[in-house]
Amino acid sequence: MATPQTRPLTIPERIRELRSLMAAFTVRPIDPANPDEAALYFPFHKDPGRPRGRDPVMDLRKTIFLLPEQETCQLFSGFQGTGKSTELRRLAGELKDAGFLVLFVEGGRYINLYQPLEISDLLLAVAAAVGEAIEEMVGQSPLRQQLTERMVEFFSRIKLTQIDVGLSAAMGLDQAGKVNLDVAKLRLELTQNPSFKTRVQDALRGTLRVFLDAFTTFMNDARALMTAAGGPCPVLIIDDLEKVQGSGDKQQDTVQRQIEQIFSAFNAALKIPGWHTIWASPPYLPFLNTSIASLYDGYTVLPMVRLWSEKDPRRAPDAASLEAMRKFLRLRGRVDSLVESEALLDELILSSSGHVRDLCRLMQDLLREVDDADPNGRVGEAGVRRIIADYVDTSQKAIYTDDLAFLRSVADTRRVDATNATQIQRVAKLFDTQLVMVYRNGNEWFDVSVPVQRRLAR
Amino acid sequence: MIDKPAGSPEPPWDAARTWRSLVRLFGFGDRLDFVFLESGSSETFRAWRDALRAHCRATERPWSEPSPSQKILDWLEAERLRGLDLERAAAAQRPREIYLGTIAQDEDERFVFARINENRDNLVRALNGVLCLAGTGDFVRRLAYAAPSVWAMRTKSFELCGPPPAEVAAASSTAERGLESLVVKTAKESFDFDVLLTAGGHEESAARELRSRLEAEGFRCRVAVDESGLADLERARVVVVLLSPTYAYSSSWEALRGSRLAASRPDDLRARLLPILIGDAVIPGMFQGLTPLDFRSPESRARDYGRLVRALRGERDASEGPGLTQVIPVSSGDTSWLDQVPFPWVHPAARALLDALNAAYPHAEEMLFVLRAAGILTNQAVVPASTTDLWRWALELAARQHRVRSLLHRVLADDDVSAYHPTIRRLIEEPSAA
Repeated sequence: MATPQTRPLTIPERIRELRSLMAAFTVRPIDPANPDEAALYFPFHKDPGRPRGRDPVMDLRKTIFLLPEQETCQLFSGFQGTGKSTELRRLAGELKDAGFLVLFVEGGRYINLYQPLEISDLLLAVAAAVGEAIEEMVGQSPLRQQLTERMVEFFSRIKLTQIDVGLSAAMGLDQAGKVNLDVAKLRLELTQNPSFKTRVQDALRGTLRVFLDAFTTFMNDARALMTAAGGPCPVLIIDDLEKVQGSGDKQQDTVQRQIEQIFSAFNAALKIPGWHTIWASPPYLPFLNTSIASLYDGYTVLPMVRLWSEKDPRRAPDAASLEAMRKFLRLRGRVDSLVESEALLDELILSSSGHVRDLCRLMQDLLREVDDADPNGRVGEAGVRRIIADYVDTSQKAIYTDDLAFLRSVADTRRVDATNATQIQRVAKLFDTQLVMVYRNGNEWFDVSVPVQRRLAR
Repeated sequence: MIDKPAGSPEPPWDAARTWRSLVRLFGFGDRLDFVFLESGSSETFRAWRDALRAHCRATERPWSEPSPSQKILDWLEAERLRGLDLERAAAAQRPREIYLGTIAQDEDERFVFARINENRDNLVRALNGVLCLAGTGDFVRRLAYAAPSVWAMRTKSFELCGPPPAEVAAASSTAERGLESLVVKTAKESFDFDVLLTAGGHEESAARELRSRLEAEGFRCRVAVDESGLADLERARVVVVLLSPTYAYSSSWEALRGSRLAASRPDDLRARLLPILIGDAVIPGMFQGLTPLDFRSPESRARDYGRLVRALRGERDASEGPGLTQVIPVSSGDTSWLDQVPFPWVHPAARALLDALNAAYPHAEEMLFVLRAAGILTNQAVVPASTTDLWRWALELAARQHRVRSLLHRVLADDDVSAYHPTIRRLIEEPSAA
């Protein structure tokens, strides 16, 4: 299991190793297309056990590959911490390698994720993001001035300049008569200024048709600036939208309904002519609208890593999945040097319920448990069980007694049945708090997390 | 299924292990860790806080917590801004800092959770270390539901079922006694000293350094880590506040205004308060007309330390202008009501202005935006029960920062509320006499 060492580590070397492992298990998206980070990416879909089902972005990629010159619109969903951003970045890299122009938008940079969202401010944010991304790509070339002119035209058409005095000044002609535009300021206003956002929503609500036309024209202009006529459509990936949430139950309900409306009623607006678009979407969406997948050219959910079978009531560990998770851990360093046996590593893996972020968290706990004054120090059974007990205890704190009956039904049936608005809202919360997980082998199925299993077994 | 059969007993809570895990977290990591502390009683939590604070002092690890009068969101925003400054200065060399904030279980709790939740990434970008969020009862459960983004990024959660380990608690109690820094104690001795130095948690070393220099000059000094207990203060020749971004000058001022000292000698109060700048991120106008001494560079420190000592001795130096008591102007009765500090609620126009602003901006988000646009440091808002209360707080804040006029100019530039402009213009013209 462990890589043999030619000589034992000194204490400083060991501390450096522990710190390096700590950094490797820090929770953050990885960019597999970046050579510096590629080594940390583990392709679960290529592992013989396929513990996550097939390649999660394969369908998205294939749809684009098969219809390169025709616009497509797809959704990509999954729970927080499963690696959506990582997979989307990988997809972006693969599409770039295949010759597509790809714009990757971190939604949180352009959208206030914690306020109600409407189609108008979502698309306005997309316009700003596309404008900024293209600005970055073209640098100071003559294309920049053309792009700016298109953007100013867009903002003039939707009368945004009348909404805020500051923006108007930033978008007008400067003293030399040159078109001037501050997209960064627009981004800041959209994310930091709820008042501005509300005014944009109010103003555009009455002229939505004009807005949508102007948006389509702008996106068409932007595409024409960046790609040759008749070539493949550029790809726009908008991440983070699954994180949009309200403050408090009432606003949460509003936000969920608005998100459902955006993805259902405005699905045509999300399909941007001349572009391949991929939108990250919240996992509760199919519960609000069971036919959501049929509205798009593709709908993919990134599941957890499956550690046991859907049909096994005892949830016996799946050997191939465990091995895949061990490989995932070993990719980041000498993890076997942290524990007294592989079985202990397996216990940590199983406790994570296949949630990659939680496994990283458990590994960080393990690193804190290692005696750094002993270069050969390893954590034994008692230590590992304490770590797991702490993790389970913390996770169980998020369980409300009211939810136990529902959680038990998920545990028994491996399905989620939510039939009314209140239940859907609770389901969304259970997804957010990672008490209910989604898996895939063939079809999707659900199960409760290990801490919930323990709670139900009490 | 995994490591123990269902129904097997949970291991008993272990104070020593909890302590070790927490302290280990402090020193080991390379980004901001979110840690939740849940305790059954506030006494238990205080014992842990004291022990952890003493541990950080002993190990010279930076420690920060809100001062008693500071709201947790204000404190976090101040720390975030300070963190951004530090990051610009020396990203790689930044030590891991420990931040500890308690979230009270009251009607504002959900608001606090929501704001921390939406600022999660901003905090992660600016801070390095461990952010401990503490509360009582089912704190962690409430947080998990109300702040799912923070929950998703949690590092660890600790239940504090009893006091810290005995040896740790004893050591921390000795450390606290040795520091002689709690004003609650110091205030009782206030007839015995000449100078009271107050400072936020980060500035304690600066305060102690100044104390030793002043004591070498023969002054009797005390150090207070925050403004708690200033209300009990009866006597001090000078109260020196060392200012950095994390320390709320206005809180000290408010505390002093309510002190016994203020009650017995109200005319002297402002003459006894002296701010000293030790950091850059302070807000112009926050000193309410006082001229702070400047310790930010070696040159200005040498110059202004001399001024401080001469002033403490009651010496006057014509070349330096007036002495301490004279450099502090007090708002006069002739000042326009818009420039008075504190905000003059007794003025008949004050209430009308409150009503107009409340009607123009009935939502907290809009109000906060207007305040910020007017250059008023709001950090995050304290949110009382109604927007009227919120605007009352905002006007008092604006007055303390001498920015009531800026606020009104901003409102008058906002065409969306033009219906209220005539009323506000009329109120601005109101004479100062009540």
